[in-house]
Formats: sequence, structure tokens, C-alpha cells
Amino acid sequence: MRDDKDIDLISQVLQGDKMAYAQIIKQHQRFVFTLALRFSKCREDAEEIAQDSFIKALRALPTFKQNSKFTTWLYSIVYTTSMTFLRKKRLDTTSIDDETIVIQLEGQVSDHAVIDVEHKSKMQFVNLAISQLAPLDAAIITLFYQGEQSLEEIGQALGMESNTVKVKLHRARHRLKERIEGILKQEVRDLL
Amino acid sequence: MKNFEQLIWNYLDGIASVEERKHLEQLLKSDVEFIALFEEIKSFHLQISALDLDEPSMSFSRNLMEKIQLEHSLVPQKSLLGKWLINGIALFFLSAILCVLGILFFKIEWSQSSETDWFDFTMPQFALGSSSYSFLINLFVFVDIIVVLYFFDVFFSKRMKSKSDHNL
Repeated sequence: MRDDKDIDLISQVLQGDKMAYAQIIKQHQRFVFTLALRFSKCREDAEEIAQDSFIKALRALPTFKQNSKFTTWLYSIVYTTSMTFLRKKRLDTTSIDDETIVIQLEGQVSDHAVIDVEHKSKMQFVNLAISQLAPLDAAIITLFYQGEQSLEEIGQALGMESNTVKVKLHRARHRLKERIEGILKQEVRDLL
Repeated sequence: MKNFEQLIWNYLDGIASVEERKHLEQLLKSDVEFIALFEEIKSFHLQISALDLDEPSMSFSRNLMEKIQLEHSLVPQKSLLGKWLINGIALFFLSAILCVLGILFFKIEWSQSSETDWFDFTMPQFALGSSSYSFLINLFVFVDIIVVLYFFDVFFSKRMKSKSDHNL
């Protein structure tokens, strides 16, 4: 249903209607931004990546063959743009397969612990845990759960086999679970 | 245990086969430990599913549309104009020139005798011996030599550079 709407808007854009592209942006900006954020871990960079992705998508729109969903095609652009951006900036010195290691000195209360635990929802913990995952793990989880992409579609977007995606998704969830448990344990320790 | 986890994830992801589903349903009826594991994974699955998307800044779409407008305005005119339009303009000018030449051709009075000098043109005369004129000629030749040497230098330095790059 949503894909039909995308196709209609795309044909309007190709006929020269710029406002139709503004609608496409409005519909997909949250997900594109979230996905870019999973890779860059920084809001400013994520906005830049998301904007570049939309501009690249507009340029390449005449080449979109409609063999796949528009979202799958768009997310593959976000992925390649993110990778190019990270390579250029060289901010992330570790591999995208490596997990972010959060070092907390013993006896020192973390920033997160300052906020009252009672006011934290479970979602905040999950979000925090996702931000600590490796970019690729976080992106696969986001594509699967929030992007509603199948394993095959994620494979198309990331240039992988669907079986590889399945294994990576399973591992990413496992790591996420461990992260959440770690954060909760830390919170309990900080309270005591 | 690991196989059980995989079975549950396949079921929750909607990729479990018919046999796997049957096996899972049987375990859910009989195995208490499996039920506990199923509930744990299911609640985690629901937690991730309920995650909300992040919101970009308020000016995100406005800035993006401005960027797109700017990029569109920077597109060279040549690409905006159709090829047929450029060809049309060229055809118009060519046909105009041909028309003018045609009119001139027909206006010529061919009956006039060749003795009449209707086209009288005399070459301008230059005083080649004057010193200012020879100075100008020398200057012109000197500048030409400098320009030629400069272009030779550029040409050969480029060639040498490309050769050295190729060897690397």
C-alpha cells in the first residue's frame, strides 16, 4: 500500500513535480535519519548522511527499475552513503563489525545514572543499548524491526546473502540482549 | 538450548517451516522450561519491535529542499535544453545565412562586363622600413616565441608526469 503511494509519487517527480519529492522526504525522513544515526552515532553527521542520501536518490530516481521496494532501494543508498561518509571522516577508527566499548571507571557515576531510574522507560534502555552496538548490528536490527524489511530485502540493501543477514540478525539480537542486561546491572550497582 | 532459541526466533520472525511450528507448539504444551524461554524471548522481541524512530531536526526537510533547489539551479543550461532545440536554433541561423547569400547571388547583375570594376579592392600599403613598425614586428615575434615555449613546457611536463605515474 505504502509502496504503491511511493510509486505514484516517483512518477510525479519524474514528470517534474518537485513537491512530490518533498512528500517522499516527509514520509521517509525519520527512518532514513534513524538508519544514518545507527551508522554515524552522531545526530549532525546523521542529518548530513540523510540529506546526501535523499539528494543521491533524487539524482538516481530515473534508474529505479521497481524490481524491489522503493524503501529497499532507498536504504541501500543510505547504507552506501553512510559507508562513504564514515570512510571520509575516519571518525570511527574501529571496524563497523566491532562493538563500541563503553568504559566506565570504577566508583564513578555515569551520566546515564544521574537521571532517576524510576523515570526511565524500558525503551530508553533499549535505545541506549542499540547506540552501543556495532553500526552494522544496529542497522540490521533497525531495518528488520523499524524498517519492516524482510531478510532478503535487508540483504539487497546491504549487499549480503539473506542467510548471512539471518545469522547477523541473530547475533545482533544476542549482543543487544547482553547490552541491555549490562546496562540494567550497572543501573542497579549505581543505585546501591 | 541454542536450537530452542533459534526455533523461537524463527517462529517470531515468521520464517519457521511447518515442521518447526508444529514442534514449537508441541513444546509449548509440554515443556515448562521451554515456555519460560519462549516468554522471555517474546517479550524481548516485542520490546525491540516497539522501538520508536528518531526524529531529525525541525529544519531538516527545509534545508534539504533548499539544497535540492540549489543543485537544480546549478545544472548547466545545455543539459536543460533539448537537443532538438539546439539543432533548431542552428538550422534557423544556417537557413538565414543561406537566404541572405541567395538574395545576394540573385541580385548580382551578371550582364555587366568584366571590365567594370564593381569589386574594387586595393591592399593597404605599409611602410615596412619604418623603425616603429619593425619594433612591433619584433615584439610580436618575441611574444609568440615565449607563448610557444610556454606551451611546449606545459605539454612536455604533463607527458613526463603521466609517464612516471604509469611506471608507478
